[in-house]
Amino acid sequence: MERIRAFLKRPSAARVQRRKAFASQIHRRLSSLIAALFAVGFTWMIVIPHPSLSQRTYIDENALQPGQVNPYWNWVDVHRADQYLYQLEALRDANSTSEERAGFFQSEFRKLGLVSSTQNYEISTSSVPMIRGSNAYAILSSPRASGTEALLISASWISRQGEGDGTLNLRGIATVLSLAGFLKGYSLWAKDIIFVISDGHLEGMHAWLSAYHGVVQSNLKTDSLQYSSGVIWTALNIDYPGHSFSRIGIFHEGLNGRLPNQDFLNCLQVIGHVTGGVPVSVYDYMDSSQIAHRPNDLDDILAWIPAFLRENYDVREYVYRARNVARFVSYQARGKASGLHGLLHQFRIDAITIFAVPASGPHGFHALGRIIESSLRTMNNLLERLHASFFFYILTSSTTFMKIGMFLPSTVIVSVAMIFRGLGEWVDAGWVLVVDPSTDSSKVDPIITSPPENWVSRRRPVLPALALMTFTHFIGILLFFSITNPLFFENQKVYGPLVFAIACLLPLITPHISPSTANNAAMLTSVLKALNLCFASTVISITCVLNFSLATMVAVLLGIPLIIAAPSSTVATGCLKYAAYCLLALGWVLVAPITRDAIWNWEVLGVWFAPFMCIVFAPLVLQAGVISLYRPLE
Amino acid sequence: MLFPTYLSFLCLTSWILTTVATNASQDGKVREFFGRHDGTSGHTNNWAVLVCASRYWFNYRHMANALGMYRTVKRLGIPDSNIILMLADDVACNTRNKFPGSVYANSGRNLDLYGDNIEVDYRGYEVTVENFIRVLTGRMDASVPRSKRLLTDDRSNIFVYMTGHGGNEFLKFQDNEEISAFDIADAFEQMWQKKRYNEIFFMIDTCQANTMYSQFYSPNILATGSSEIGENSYSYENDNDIGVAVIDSYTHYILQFMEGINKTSQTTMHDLFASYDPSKIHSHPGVRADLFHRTLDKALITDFFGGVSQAEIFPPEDAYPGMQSPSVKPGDTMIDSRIPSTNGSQLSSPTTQGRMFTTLEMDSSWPISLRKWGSMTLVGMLVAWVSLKS
Amino acid sequence: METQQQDETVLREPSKLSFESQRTRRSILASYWIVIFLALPFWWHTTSIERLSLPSARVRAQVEKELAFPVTIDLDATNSSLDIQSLKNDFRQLQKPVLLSSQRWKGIDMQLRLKEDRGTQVVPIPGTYSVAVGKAGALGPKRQLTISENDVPSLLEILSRLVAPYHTSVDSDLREQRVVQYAARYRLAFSLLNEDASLGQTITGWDVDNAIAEYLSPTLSSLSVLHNFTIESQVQLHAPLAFAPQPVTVGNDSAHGLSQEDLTVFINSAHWTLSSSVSNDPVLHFVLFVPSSTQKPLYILDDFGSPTDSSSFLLPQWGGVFILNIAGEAADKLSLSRSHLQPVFSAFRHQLLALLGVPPIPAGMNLVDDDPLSDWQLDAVLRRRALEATQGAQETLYSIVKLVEQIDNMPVGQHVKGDVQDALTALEQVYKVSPSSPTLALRWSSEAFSLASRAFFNPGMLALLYFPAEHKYAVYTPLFASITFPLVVALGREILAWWRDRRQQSRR
Repeated sequence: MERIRAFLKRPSAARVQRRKAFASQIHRRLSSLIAALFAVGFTWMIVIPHPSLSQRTYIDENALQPGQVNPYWNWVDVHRADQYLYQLEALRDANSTSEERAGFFQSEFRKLGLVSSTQNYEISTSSVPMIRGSNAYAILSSPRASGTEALLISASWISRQGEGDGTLNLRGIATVLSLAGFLKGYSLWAKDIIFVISDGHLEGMHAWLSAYHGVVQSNLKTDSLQYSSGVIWTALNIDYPGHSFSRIGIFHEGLNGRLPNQDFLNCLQVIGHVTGGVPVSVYDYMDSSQIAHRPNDLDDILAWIPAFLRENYDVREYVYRARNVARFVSYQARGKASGLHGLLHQFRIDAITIFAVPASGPHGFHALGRIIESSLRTMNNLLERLHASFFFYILTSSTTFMKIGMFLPSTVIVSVAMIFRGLGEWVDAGWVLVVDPSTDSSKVDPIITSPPENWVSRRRPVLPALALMTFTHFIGILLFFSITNPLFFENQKVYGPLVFAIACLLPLITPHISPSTANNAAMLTSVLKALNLCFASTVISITCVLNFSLATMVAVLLGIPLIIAAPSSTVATGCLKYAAYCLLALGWVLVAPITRDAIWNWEVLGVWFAPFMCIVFAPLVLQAGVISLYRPLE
Repeated sequence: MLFPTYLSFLCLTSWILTTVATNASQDGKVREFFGRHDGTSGHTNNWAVLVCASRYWFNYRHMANALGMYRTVKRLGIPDSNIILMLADDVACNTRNKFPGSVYANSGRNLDLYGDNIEVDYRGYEVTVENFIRVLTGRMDASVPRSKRLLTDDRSNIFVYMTGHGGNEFLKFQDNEEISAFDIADAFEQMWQKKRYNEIFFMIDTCQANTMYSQFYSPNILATGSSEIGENSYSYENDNDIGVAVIDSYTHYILQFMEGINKTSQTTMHDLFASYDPSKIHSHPGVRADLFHRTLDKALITDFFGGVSQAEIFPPEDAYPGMQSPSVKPGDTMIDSRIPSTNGSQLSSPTTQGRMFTTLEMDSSWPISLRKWGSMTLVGMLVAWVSLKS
Repeated sequence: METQQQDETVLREPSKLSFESQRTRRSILASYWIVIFLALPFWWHTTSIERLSLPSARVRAQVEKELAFPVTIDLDATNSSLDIQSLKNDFRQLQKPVLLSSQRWKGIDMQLRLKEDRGTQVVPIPGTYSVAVGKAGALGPKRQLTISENDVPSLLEILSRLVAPYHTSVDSDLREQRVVQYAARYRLAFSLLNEDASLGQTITGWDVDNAIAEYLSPTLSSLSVLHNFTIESQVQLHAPLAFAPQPVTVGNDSAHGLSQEDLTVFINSAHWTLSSSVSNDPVLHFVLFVPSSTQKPLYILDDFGSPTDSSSFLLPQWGGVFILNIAGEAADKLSLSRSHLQPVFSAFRHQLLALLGVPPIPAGMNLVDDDPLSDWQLDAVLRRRALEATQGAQETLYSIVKLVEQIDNMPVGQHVKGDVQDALTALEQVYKVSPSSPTLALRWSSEAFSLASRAFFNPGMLALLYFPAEHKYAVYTPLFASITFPLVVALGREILAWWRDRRQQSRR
């Protein structure tokens, strides 16, 4: 009662006092707190692949009802696919041009009675001056419905094997052609079905999609499509490079880290199991249920683990999942699409690629056709776009996944640690502890709790620090423009290190042109470090929910380096540290394939990885490097 | 301290005994009132209200449930003019239906329920909670056509069948509204007040179906549901060509049982309920018979599913033009017809029942109420004494 | 130290903090509360259900009343064969309250006036009945009854049967009750059904217009005070039965028979359309069924399986069926003439009267004149129907009142209230006219009943859906609790501060 009365009487005073006490507690233990947060964050990241954080996948959308249909695809259709394959091989052997191929596809579609046309396109990029191609597409109008929605079946000329190394996807195209004839015979399609056979690997589909949705970018020249249909809801991309396959791999990552609705993958998992009898796995790795029996797949990774651990089932499970997560991160961090499907996510189309992992195994057109037909029947049941299941998840194996709450906090904790450090630096830059020499120790009253020290505030040189940060970002922009120049790619071996050197040397002028610090002004380095850490933490937190892998990569690469950035006592250590930071910031420019790939993706597909690295990531590290060029305050 | 507790104990026991006694005596009188000659239901016509409350392709089985019941009800003799069929969606003409224009209830596709002779009275978006309650209570706009009205009288037995997605004391209509068990109970009570039914047989097949009939309070209702509270009702089988589940377990077994019934069958409700097998249906169906005045082994299934219980043969007439009703047999002179409004000799209408009840209470209430009030005042005094003491 | 104390006082009195002004804070708080108080009546008004008050006291008073028709019979007691004393005793027996309160005598108040003297002239009051002893039993026009001398001992019984023909007997409970509900308009649907015209010997037409005009129209016109009849008829050439009648042998011929069970399922409603559903009026069906040539003759069997000689049966509250067996080798296409239809339509007439609740005249009586119905019969029906309608109206009004009281969220609009009041007015009229004319009584009482039904079935009286208290709290709490809590706490703090100020000022 008394305490309540007291609470009501003195609201402000008590609250203010409590807040001050809390803040001082944190400030005293800041370093250990940050270290603890880092430990928790990084440990969590390592634990991500562990089975305890994952749960089983399930079908959330009630309308789907996967695997409850008898597919009618049969050997007649397989025979037809074989005939198409024969003709495609003839086209390949005759070294036919894109136009000839597209013309062939168009005529085949028309023979089946479908409305069909071709589309020519030209894409100009800095790495490759001109990419030309022709796509062919056909539209099966829904017999009884109005055709406001559509399903898309596509196959590209070049398979995704080896990330588009040139293997042809002949059997995938043959499947699509045979499917077109087969599906036309049934009147139970509630949505239109669009068949697209695109040229090249990813650029053909990109050109087709841009024309279909009317968002043609400046370096793409194409005419509008002759025929169009409704809004595309789901899409399946067929990739079948080899002769036969023993299992089906699902690829689902999209551009800039977008993922399709998880129900689509789960449906395919159920259908592959029930209807096709084909094991379904993530990427082209072996299914987790088989790793116990055929451990060859994992052996190269496990070679350096002692034998007794290698035989342990839990360890193998963990390593398998870790490999899946690593592959996922490698796609998502670079914002790359792991297949043709990735180009569709930006139009709110749920799409995946069915990749028939080449093997001498038992399955062929028959199993693949049944699976595709069953998936189409399932997608046909949809009444609204897939929305029930998750859009943010990590597939640790084909039947287990992690919800966002199970992996996101790891990166957020790291960014929280960074911002704590940044705020601590900010406070330390502005307030300095001056011990009063005049205080006599004898007069110190033991009862008085407040220390006899004095906190003196000093001015923080914010503007110079911001100017420096802007300068490094400007360097980043220059870097970006230089590597998107076609000249760069002509002579990449020469220009790469040149650009690298210029970018590294430019910040060296900063310690000399920055204004000298006034007497009771804080160190420029402290303010710079505080702002740097706060900015980095903000970037990580924001990117976390857009592209988790990119944020994690930034957190891992920048977390510790940014925090330990400090002025160096000697010139030599300063130069060494600066060199290390430069390597971290710009080392990727030296690696030609990465740069080429990133720039190509940026120019053709609009992937933000290249600009991000140049304009955000590199400058952050350069700022930390600049800090180490300064001498510490005496 | 001891005396007040003893006194209060005495008062409480006396109060309990008097209420029990009153109830017993009132029960006896009530039983006299409601006691009819058991066996006959006293109906002259049959009506059916069949409702499928859920839409969309994946709820195919609910439509098949309702259509299966419709076919059974028609086969056993209720004419289309006496059936109100409410289907929330049209699966037969759905673009995803591999067999357009047909609805099947089993995986072998033996029997097309959609047929060529069905009359759906409420279709699509007309199946709403409001329309359903309007059908039951009869409160319709004057422009509603005859086929959409429930024109029952006090000699009608009504079979009400509902299926869809449901939960604890609610049933989902059309994916965006719900009807609660209280609404249906109130609707039945209004039907009883206006003497719109003789007996009702209520059957419901949803998840947690038995909760839907837990709130009924009007007499002459026999209710059965497919699953207990907290239980789901499961579908029976899929058809792999249609691609969805085609019938629910409970309804499947009911329809199977009904295939063995024809128009003149003497099978009773007791046999129907005894045929429930929870292990096959995968849920526990329930029955509520406390509001039903007949015993279940005397209530025939055909009482609700289409039969007329009696036909009267008229003796031949003498061929004499203008001659009025000659040679009626001596024992048959009087047409022993009661006026319909009186509802039978023993079973009185609600108002007379109300009147009778008031007379009953007035007869014997004053000593009982005296005892009640006396004991309660004593208890009150005791409580006051205890609280003041502390 | 001074600054510290100053700080403390500042902190202790939040109102003295420079950035807080008490006036501003209190006016902000007051503005919130004023808006809430102003909005409360709006909310109450817009969420309330219109429930006008019904005249429930009048309704309850009505329910207690009972309608009684006085029936005055003038008996010409001058005949010597009448035993007046025993007549008086028997009549007193009849008057015993036990008998009179039974269902049979409900609403009928029979008075017997004896004209004992040959000379006295009793003033005939219109509406009274007169009985005289004559040669043969006959029901004359204008409510006259002549009984033969043989029937004199059972005079009272005959009178009871004529005046109160509807009694309840022990076995009537077991028999289906066949009389239909009263409705002002009835449709009569006559159907000629050939079971299978393709097997030959079909009846392609019937002279139904003239048959109805001759055999039914007189009855229908006498019943026109009760019902308004619309007639429709049809001929069908293929109306199969849903079951196979059992074969039976009659003498040397084979025939088919319908058992009692078959009669109940005779109407194949799944395949026969017997009436048009163009209006909401109730329908009475009359079916003339002609079995196909392979199934004729079709007889109705009795309980032992042997054919009876009756060829028609009645389905309670639905209508009647007449089975016509075409004799021998008739031509392929027949048409029924008026004379052929005479037994059919007199059977239909009989069934119609049974369905409408018109009592038959006692055995041995004849009807004088060509009237199809006597006044005694008509009056009995009128009285009964008026009684039903009155009772129905009273019960309906009472149930409206009870329902409105029982179901809290049932709205009562202006139309309902108006109809209830009009129904009560009509009921009062019934009591006024009942001594003089049963016809007027029926008219008023049926109007009262239809008004009461219209009030009961008013579409606006749909009880709003059930929302349990938990739902209401669940909807309102997230909306209002998060707003009201800080407002209430702030108000409490302000009041405490104000009270403390007052106390401090009073202390100073």
